[in-house]
Amino acid sequence: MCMAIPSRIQTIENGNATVECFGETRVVSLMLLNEAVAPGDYVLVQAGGFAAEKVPADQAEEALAVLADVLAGAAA
Amino acid sequence: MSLAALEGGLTVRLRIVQGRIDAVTIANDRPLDAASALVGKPIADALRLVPLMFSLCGTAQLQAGLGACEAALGIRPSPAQLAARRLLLLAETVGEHGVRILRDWPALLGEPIRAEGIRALRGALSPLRKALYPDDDWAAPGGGRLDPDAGVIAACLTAVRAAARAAIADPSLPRVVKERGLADLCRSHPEPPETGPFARRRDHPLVAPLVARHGNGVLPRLVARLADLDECLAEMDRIVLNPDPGWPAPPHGDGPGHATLEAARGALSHHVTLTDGRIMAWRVEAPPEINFAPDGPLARGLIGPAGGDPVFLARLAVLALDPCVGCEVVVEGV
Repeated sequence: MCMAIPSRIQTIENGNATVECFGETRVVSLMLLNEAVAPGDYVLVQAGGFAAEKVPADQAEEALAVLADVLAGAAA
Repeated sequence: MSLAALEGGLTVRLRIVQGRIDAVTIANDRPLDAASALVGKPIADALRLVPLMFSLCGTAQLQAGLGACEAALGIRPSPAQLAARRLLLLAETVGEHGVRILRDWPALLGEPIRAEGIRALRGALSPLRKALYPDDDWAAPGGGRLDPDAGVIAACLTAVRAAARAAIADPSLPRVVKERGLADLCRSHPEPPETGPFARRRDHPLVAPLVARHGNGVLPRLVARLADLDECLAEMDRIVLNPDPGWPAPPHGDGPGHATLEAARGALSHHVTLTDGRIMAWRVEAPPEINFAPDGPLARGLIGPAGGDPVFLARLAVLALDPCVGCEVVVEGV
């Protein structure tokens, strides 16, 4: 609920980024970001396929660890 | 469970019989118990994680969670802290409404997204938190070190007002809705429970006359969002800020605590139970559970003529109610 999952940028091309999260990749638009991003950075991805904001790597990885628990709990 | 299931989403199914939508079912696969992942953690850790997990409306989510923890701990933040939090919450609401109006409204009509306006609005909002709390510790139980920088805040609010008012100047969606005779779309009587900008602003001078003509149809809902944004800007200007060192929180606390606030999309509640400063239970109730309930305003309101493009009608109605997750519309029947 109300979740935008941090995703790691793999490549950037023509204003779009290929991002990865939990082994899944997808292409998102970077057009709404105010700050520059590069491969390796984390961004929050919102409904509609837009990167909403850049997230510091330590925060993103901490969030992903908790969200992995949510995934594991749901699969159990 | 997949990434998509973790993000959650709504599926709206329309059953069409002889040109009428005669049944609407809404599947909500949002992971409602995600907050249970916080169980067992110390309060400080949980509060650090809340905005990372629930990052859409992260400020509202954290304020509701913080308020619930403070209630459980028996802490009453000072008026100065509450005023500063209110300013941050309003800023987030302005930003969320801005994205809806500049991104999703034109997208529904096939018009270009106004990305420059979104970036301008977000850029204007971004200095506010640090201008209030230089140590970025606003979410400490009892409040952080509040030391408002009046000059930066005044400049920030001026820039936000300019960017937001540019955003709401003559948006095309309400005009198109009116021109196509869709103002009453998704109107229902009696009105089911609803939360969000329409519930907050139905008595607003710009909204009330539309409610009189169109009830809870999409046009009053869209205009209510514009009115809500404008009222948020006005309230931000009225908030009086004072320095406050915060309240040192006790390290341990027992019992339940609850907090509800009005986030951009409506009433948001967090419920926690603490034992010895750790989370024993954490539950969240978010606006989509009301607005997209199986017998809620969308499900009831869409019953009626299917028109030439029922998918567009459903998407318009969904957008007027504004879920925070993606929504797929499926048509069944002919």
